[in-house]
Amino acid sequence: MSEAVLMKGNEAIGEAAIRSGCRHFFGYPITPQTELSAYMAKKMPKIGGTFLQAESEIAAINMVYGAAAAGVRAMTSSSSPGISLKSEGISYIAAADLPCVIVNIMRAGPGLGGIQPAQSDYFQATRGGGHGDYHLLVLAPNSVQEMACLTAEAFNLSEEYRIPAMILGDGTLGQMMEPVDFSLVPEPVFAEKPWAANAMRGRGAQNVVKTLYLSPEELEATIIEREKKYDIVRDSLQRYEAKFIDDADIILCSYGITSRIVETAVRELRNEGIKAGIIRPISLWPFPEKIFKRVRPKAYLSVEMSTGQMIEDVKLACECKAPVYFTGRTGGIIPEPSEIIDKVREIHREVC
Amino acid sequence: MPEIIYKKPHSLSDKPFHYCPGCSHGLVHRLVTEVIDELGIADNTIAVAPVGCAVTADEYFRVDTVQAAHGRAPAVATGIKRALPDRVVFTYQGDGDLAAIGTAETVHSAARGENITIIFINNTIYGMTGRWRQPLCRVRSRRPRPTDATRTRRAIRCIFAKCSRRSTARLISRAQPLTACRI
Repeated sequence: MSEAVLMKGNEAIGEAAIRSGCRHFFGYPITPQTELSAYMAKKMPKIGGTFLQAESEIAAINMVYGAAAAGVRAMTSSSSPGISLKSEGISYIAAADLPCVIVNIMRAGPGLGGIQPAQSDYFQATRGGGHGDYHLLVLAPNSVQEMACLTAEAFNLSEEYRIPAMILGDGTLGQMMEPVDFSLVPEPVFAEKPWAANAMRGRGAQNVVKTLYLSPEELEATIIEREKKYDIVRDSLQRYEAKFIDDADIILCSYGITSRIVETAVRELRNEGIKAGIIRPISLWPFPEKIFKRVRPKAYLSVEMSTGQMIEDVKLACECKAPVYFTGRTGGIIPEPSEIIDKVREIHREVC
Repeated sequence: MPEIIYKKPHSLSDKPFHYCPGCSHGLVHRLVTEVIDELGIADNTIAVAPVGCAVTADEYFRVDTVQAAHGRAPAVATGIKRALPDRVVFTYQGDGDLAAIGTAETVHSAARGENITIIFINNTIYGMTGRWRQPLCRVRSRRPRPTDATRTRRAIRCIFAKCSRRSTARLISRAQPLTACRI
């Protein structure tokens, strides 16, 4: 019997992770992801799992690296400044082709920034964050239900492709409560891990999880091999939600909590007679560029809680065939629907 | 019938060491693998390699190996041990790795009482990058002397003292959180 329960977004991620077979969580305190660590601290000991509060974000991500190398489903969570600290470890995890899930409940930066929600880690999440040629699978939920569903998917996809996955939420999604139905959450699909460094146990051959290649030819070959995997993912994993796009003059692009505000704005604009549409990327990497090839609006508007980061991907995806505008708030401020509506009216006057 | 009383440990690969003449890494590798053989734990052991001269330890230790980021080996070993509590997990780290960049990971894995073994090789320098000094370098020494024969002999004695068959067995089987062999 399916039954919705009222949960905070952070807690929904934790519950979904446990249901996905994650029994190893390594965390470090930071606002506004605290409820997720607290949930894991409460639940893990009861189900024979590990909750470990590490001495730093750096240690936590390296514990994930170790646990993932040993072949188990492992997870860590943090918020923006903590993700910066984890970036070194994330680069190593990507280089070692290890599956794991990293949660970033974004707050405003740069530096210590603030503790209010923001979306200013888009570049960090989609462009790497750490050093080297690598990508994360980046999934951006916009509801508590989706936080649960995408967490489960992140574990499955990460194992299938051996690419670390990131859930990119923000302080609002993490802290707000909504009904969530766990019967809608995908079942775990466990991949074989013949590569895991879990002790030889009669295997006869040694398994090594490493990231150092002193021969440039060998290193280039491993990077190119990984890139082939990224190409498959770029082609097959583009996720998005589109609304009112068929006749749209102006398409608004936004992800996460901002997309909920954009939807309110677009419905009001439609009532006014302005043909506005929505493309909401769910996978931020790979960016859902295919849908942009199928629409012909007169303009795009990227709405973000940053000074404009996803706008670059929108420009690349639409190949600048229409002007791309930006509006948004940053520093921990959530845009009002009226600000978005005003901006669309202004664009409408210019292009229509 | 002649009896073989001294041979290369099975857990030590045939690859010639890349370490510098006078460096005791090769000797410690031998001691570690000898103990792994004696305890019969090669099939149940996971090594964590550091950044530094021993970064390619997997080429010498014939056990599953995970290469850690600089200084993070105790955190990586923690993750492995928590995932697979019935395995023997050890790190092999130099002084730059353990005592400079990785001090926090070292101290906190010990403070938590992690069931891992840390084998600490202190030659008082960053060997790979051209003898940079590190925090355990003796204050009055004008420059590090990594190939000093007296010190190396003292080091070997020290390791033998610490890693005699009985005490090493205890070291690994009891899995003390932190064992520092000062060279």
